[in-house]
Amino acid sequence: MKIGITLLAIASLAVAQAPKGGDNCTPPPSALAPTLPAKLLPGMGTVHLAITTGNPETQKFFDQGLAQMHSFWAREAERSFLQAAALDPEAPMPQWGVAMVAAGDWRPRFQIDLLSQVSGRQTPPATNRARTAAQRAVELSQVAGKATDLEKLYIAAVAARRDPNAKDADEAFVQGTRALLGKYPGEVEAQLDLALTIMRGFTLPDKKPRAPGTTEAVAILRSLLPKVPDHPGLHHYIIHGFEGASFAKEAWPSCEKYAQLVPNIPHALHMPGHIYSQTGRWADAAKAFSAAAENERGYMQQDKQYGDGHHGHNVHYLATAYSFEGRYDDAVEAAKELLAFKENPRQAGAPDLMTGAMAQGWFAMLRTLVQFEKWDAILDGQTLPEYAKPRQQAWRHWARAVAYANKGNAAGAQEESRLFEQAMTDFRVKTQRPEPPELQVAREELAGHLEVAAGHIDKGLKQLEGASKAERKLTYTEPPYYPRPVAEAMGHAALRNHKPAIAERSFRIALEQYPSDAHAENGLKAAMKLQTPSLASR
Amino acid sequence: MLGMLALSLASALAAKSYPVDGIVVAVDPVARTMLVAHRPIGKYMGAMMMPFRVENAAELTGLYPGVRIQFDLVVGKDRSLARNVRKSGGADAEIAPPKEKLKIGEPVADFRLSDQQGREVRLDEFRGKVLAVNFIYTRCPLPDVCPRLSANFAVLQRRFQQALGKDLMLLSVTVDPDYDTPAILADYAKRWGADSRGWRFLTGDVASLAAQLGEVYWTDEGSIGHNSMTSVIGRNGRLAAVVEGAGYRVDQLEHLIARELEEGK
Repeated sequence: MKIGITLLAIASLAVAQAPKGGDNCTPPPSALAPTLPAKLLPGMGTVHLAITTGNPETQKFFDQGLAQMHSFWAREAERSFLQAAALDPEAPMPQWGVAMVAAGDWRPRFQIDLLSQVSGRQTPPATNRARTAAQRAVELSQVAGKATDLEKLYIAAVAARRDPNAKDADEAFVQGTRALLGKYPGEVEAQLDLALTIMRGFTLPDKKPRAPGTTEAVAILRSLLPKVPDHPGLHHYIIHGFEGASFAKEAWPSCEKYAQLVPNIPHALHMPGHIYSQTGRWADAAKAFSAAAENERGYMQQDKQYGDGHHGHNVHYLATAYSFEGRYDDAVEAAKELLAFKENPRQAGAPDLMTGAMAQGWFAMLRTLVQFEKWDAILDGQTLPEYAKPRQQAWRHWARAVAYANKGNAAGAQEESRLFEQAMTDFRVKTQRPEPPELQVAREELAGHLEVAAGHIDKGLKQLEGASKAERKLTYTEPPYYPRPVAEAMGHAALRNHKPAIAERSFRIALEQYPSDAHAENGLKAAMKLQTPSLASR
Repeated sequence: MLGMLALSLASALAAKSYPVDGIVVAVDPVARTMLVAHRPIGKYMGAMMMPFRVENAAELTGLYPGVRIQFDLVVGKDRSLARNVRKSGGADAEIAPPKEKLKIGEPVADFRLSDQQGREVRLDEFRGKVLAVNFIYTRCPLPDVCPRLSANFAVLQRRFQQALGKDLMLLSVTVDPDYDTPAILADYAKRWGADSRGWRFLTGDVASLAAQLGEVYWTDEGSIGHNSMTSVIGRNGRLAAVVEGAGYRVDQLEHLIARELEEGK
């Protein structure tokens, strides 16, 4: 995830719960403490932090929990730590583990900061479990012989983060970890903890490290590479720590290594795909998302409470990667898998929804059909099915209007444009929220298509250019929440209307936005060809 | 014409209007009234149950015992009227009801479930008693939902001490039967000080009962989502009232139960 939002979500876990901001890039923590016992699983990555316990099994489950924590798999990490605690109820460190993961906030600092900005500071109900465990860890660590000095420092750091009266809980954790490192400077786990909780990412578009913390986090991670080259957490944190940087490509080796070290955690297989996408390696991204999907389907079959949010996000991004790579059939197939999911009653009843497997599959289908300009499929009424929520209704009528405009059916385009506006009004009424900015850009783009269709080419292209500028100012999301870069659409329109110079400029903008976008690359080639005088004409 | 305008203006000025939020306890279309357990009406009136005459009789259509409504109480010199009566749903209103959901007055099908002591429980054994039924699960982490519903039943247990177990049964049905075994429910019952003679916690194959009473539940991201339906079943085994959501006041449910207890005497 670049510095942006993976996918803003309304992830209320129960109907009466206040909506929580969140995203689906990382599976959410369990709203309920996991109850099924943990098993020792292969492919979690190998991590070891020696803890005070007389039971070797406790150590094994603790280490597994720690490895899962480093892959942000809060639910399973908590399950492993609980198992460790059940095996040795007097050991304080399994409680430390629960305190670290149960709240679901073991994530890069820039993600926490961003979600707070978007949704306000939120304390999910699961935080109570983390607080109780932190308190328990402190109590147990005070029993003589039950905790080393180092363990006490680890516990003090998380207890500071879980103090309900803490003014800045995240900063309290950072201070606690710094205190630990002051005494034990070579402590790898603490260095990783510190790096993750001070990485504030990079500014856009100039890619400067955000202070305070980013530069220090990058230095810590770089220094650990020669020391612990097989630590899964290190590679995971390098991916996050370098994303959005001018040197993001330096994370490529970690992308490969991380997925190799942790072949059995969906997020570990999925995450490298974000970096590959950002750098235009769409085929590698598709491989990553595809492997993650296969892995995740196994867990979904085993646990009926698993949920479909992360899978929806992953396969949506898979379809997106295929679409940008130019693989139409694969993109459609991925979208169809998600479209076959059923919405649960909360999702079905919500006036607006972007998450959930079905909603994500629907958008993936929209993107694919628009990006490949499959106007007939858009208009057949089935390939892009009806979706009775105003946001999707607006997108559907938009796509149909663009399709009609590009087929030269002005009346059809006007009618769909009217229905688009009706859906936008419906959105405001039903959600009591302002129009989504991306749909406002869509309106602007549509106006451009209508002008071009009416023969007002220059005017239409100018409008598309304006829409493209507005689109590039939208909040950055992965996968993008705009069906295709407007510059790509403008390039196609310019090409069709014999304006190769404008087409070239447009496709170059699209490629800047999404490197190696196959549609823009092909368009660019065509535009260049049209501008090159042939030998015969010289 | 001017005179008429002046007159209506004067009467409008004389009448005062107060917004009212309440739960319908009974409807009498002939008398054009509804009995409402309402929340405090500004500084005008405290929370209580009282009948209101509606200005427009058509607005009584579709109202039933348990439905939450809002209206404007227009208080004139000689009489007061309920105007602009409308149903007010909460977040639960977004959840589509199951197709098996019963209408008021329809009989509830018999069920076989287990209570917190592992005893078999059937609807038929309660014939002649009034039942209040809610849906909870013991792991529910949201203080505003299951714990609130259980706290309300705990209050009812005290208020109906005389009738409990004889004339009235409280039933709390779990929507998490995989986890909520009789032993877990027994522990939960103890936490709420439930008297097992009059407040029983049910588990087992709850799907059919839940669907009849409009309860919808599902699993989602390591959690259980559900709406909150609280039903009153009459002595004859027919559905008498349904309250949606967990936001009702306990005295409102108390009024509904009390009326049902009165009804069959």
